[in-house]
Amino acid sequence: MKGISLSSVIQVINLEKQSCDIEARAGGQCGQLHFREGTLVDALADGLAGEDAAYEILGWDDPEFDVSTEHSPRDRTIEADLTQMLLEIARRRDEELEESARSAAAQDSVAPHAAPPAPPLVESASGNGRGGAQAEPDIMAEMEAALAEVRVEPEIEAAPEPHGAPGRAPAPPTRGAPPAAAVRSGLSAAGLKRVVQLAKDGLGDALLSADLFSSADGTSYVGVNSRPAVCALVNQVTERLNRAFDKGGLPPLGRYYMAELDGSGLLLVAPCGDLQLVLVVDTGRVQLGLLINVVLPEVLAALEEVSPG
Amino acid sequence: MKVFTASGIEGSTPCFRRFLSAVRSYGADVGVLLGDLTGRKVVSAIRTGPSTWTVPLDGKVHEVDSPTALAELTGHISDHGDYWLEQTPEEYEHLRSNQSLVELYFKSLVRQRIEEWLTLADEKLGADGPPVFVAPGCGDWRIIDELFEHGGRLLPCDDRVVQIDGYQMVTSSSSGPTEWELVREMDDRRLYTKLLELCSGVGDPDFAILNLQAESRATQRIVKRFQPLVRFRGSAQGGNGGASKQGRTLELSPRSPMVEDAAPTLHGVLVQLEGGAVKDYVFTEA
Repeated sequence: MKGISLSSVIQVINLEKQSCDIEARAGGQCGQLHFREGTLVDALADGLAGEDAAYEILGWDDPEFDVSTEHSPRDRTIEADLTQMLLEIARRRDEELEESARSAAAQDSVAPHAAPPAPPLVESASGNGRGGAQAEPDIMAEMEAALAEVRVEPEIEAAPEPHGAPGRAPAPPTRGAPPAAAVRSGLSAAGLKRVVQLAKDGLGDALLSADLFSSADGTSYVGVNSRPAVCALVNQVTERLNRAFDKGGLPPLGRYYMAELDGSGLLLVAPCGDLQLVLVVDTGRVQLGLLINVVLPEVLAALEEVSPG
Repeated sequence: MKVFTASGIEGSTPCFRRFLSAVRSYGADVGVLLGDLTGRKVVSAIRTGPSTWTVPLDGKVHEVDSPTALAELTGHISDHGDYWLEQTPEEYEHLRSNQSLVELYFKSLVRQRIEEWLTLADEKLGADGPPVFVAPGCGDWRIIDELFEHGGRLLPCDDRVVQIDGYQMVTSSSSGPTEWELVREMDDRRLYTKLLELCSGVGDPDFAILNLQAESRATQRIVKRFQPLVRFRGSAQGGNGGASKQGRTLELSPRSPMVEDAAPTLHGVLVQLEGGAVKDYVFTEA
């Protein structure tokens, strides 16, 4: 039997005052718990008996077990209260988890120093005889092509490697590598992942892809179905929008902008300090109300937390 | 004061997550989650080989041929609020002939999910978030009630009067007689007496919120007699819900989703109360 925890079953037996026997197995060990009218009266486990055996079994990690309602008569060897025993087990587990977390935190400390910014991916359109309006279609065509590839089941991925060494033209990213670029930039890897995880949790199947990338060079730090090409292109679009707004006397971009894609897609970009979050969402699978009013505020709050400055 | 209320999430963790997010995102001063909180069935995933399973579900038998496909299917089952158990064919046959064991496992899974939600609520609401009250529905087993009594971020409000920012909120998961023989149903006379006793703790009805999900003669009489400012009530499965007036009481009922809806959806209502009056309300869907 898998998908059910021993402690849940025991608590129901206790609450409903049921009588039954449980045979549990874990890591080559086996043991028995005997309940009478919801009270744990006896336990046996690998040479142990009574309370010691009960603590042993209840402390096993994810044991397999069988419950038999045809119980045999037992003498009472355990006087301790079951709830207290379960609380004690939970306390011991919490202590173990805290210890693990402390060890992990010690290994996860990050030395903050910024990577030198990479040069722009394309030359500025101004002053070369080509107006911005003429340059845009190329970018949008590339973007559409990149977005058209996004149609696979989302999986949270470790951040791809940065696009080549600082100061050089971008190289194709390697998927599944550690978030080296993020670490070099002094960003919290856990914080970056949390931003994308919140989007994934909130949108589920509707999230076609997500990337959290650096505005300095379009490097994706972490993503779901990460699309480095989209990051690079969106980075340019954001930069051009800001320039256009500036020239047009408009206020700069706010917390996010959106573009409806052909079909039922929606591109959402949230620039925040030196970071940008780009989401591609299937609007056929999620209501805009949920996206705008519920998921986005939470994601933006997390993004603001993780973004330096 | 803004109150965000949702009901009938029936075991769906995505809906529960949305509820927690919505309380903050809508700027609510208090969140109220009403039942039914728990799912309706346990689905068996019968292991037929090292990487193959047979899953009888909604009248169809799904043949699953990889752990990934199983995770996808069981994820779908969980998202819709139901529960699943992986079993050997022998365990499956044993359970088929032992209803008391099936019920034990069902109840254990129900508690397991509520325990997961309690952890999730503590994480998502944090220490500084608005208070969030929760009460089971008339179809929820009583074994979940005590889980809300341990001082987490989800505060129990069933069968009691709680004070919220100058308002009093009365909640009861009990219902009158139904055709389904629900766990918390009772005859109308007993229900009326119970609700009467509960509502006797209310001071000014202009500052009273009544959470009575089920509709019966007893609840109608209570509303008519006490005339609270607002009453939240459930709607029949697939019902459109809506707002109506019962004397001075504004009755608000969020839409109730159909079980077979493709995606789990959270239906709620955000109400703004000011000086003993309903200033505004909006039904929400997420």
